[in-house]
Amino acid sequence: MSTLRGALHILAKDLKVELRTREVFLTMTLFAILIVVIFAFAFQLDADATRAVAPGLLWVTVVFSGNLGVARVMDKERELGAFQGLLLAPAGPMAVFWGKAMGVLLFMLAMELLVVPLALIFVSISLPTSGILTLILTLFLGTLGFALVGTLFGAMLADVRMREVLLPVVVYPVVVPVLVAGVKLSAWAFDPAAEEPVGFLPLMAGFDLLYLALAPWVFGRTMVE
Amino acid sequence: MGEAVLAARDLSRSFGRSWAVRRVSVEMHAGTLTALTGDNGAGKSTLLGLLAGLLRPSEGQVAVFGEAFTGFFPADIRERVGFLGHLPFVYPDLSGRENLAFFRGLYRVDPAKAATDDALLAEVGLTDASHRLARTYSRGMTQRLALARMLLQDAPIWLLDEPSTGLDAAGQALLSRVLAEAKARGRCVVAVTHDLAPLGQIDREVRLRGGRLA
Repeated sequence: MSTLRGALHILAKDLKVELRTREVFLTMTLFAILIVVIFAFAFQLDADATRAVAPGLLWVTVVFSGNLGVARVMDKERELGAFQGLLLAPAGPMAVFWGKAMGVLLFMLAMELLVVPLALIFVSISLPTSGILTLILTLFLGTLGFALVGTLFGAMLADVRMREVLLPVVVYPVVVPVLVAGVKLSAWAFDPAAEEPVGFLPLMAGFDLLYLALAPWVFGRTMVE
Repeated sequence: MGEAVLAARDLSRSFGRSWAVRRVSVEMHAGTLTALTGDNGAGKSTLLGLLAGLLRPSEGQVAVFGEAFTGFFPADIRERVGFLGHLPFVYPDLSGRENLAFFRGLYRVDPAKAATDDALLAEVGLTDASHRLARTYSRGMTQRLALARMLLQDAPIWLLDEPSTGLDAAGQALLSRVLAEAKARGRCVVAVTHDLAPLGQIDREVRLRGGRLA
């Protein structure tokens, strides 16, 4: 079984389980909505202030709920020890990494599809037509980077005590470049008339490329044991 | 008896300063059932993990079909090693049948050579529960499903950690029969156990004490 076939096989299983239980999607989405609602009620901001903090709110929501999603995806593999079974299969650790990372990416994107428009409504911020593509591209690249890093560390910490605490402690510092670039580019998407944040799109793309190469390799080297 | 199918060569494994397995050398052959026994903490499960390639030896090697390894096995070797760990390695949110279908694809099982899912589920006594989620299974039923997974893969090497866990009398009789048939097919079976009776006719007992061969 090639790595790709193995990864798609694992992804198909994860999608089947998720369509049945909706556990990962619901956990992430409800938590994301909670963040947005609490923010909307806690801060009574005028239009300018909202425009200033909305990109930050968006990305805090993405990474916090994404962290929950990664933890749930890994917990499902841990429950009856199936993760070891996956690693020992001929498809190999690379297929396991790609299968799980694609699952995390899809679950996060599905959550964002629902939560981002909702967040815009709740904080009363308009997204200009010319900013839509920028925001979509930014969210995709940022989510991809988070999914790669989250899957790697989520799997590495799967059998560690206090993993719920350790996962964000380890993941968030690593994804800081994605977070900073995401906030800058999202701010530009909300206000295309502002000066273009030069260099942040290549930073995000570069981060993704680095972890596309590095994360599966590190996963393969460290997951045994 | 021919060349060993699976061998530990001066195998050691430490966790921190403590040695879980120390300088163990043992050979296992095709068509035999070897029981790894010993008290709690004797190093049985660690040795099994080393033999499966799941743990990296601190010293020594594992030889599979004469090829020596000091870590994770390559794909063609993993394909020839079936492992049933302390946990059953099944997905609680899939039915028994769906679990088998998933592992059939994952293990690259040749449809022409393997039994059908129906036959496997019937063999382990799960026909009536085959469409129920594994989450609703008792511990014994889950272990039967794990046995079906081992039968599905039917690798030349079977490594089992306490395979009789949760099994009732009928389940233990099933386990004994499954292992006897695996031996008859020339499989090399290695089982960690505290209780030899459910394994049936064993060919050899390897006893560990304090990580060493007793």
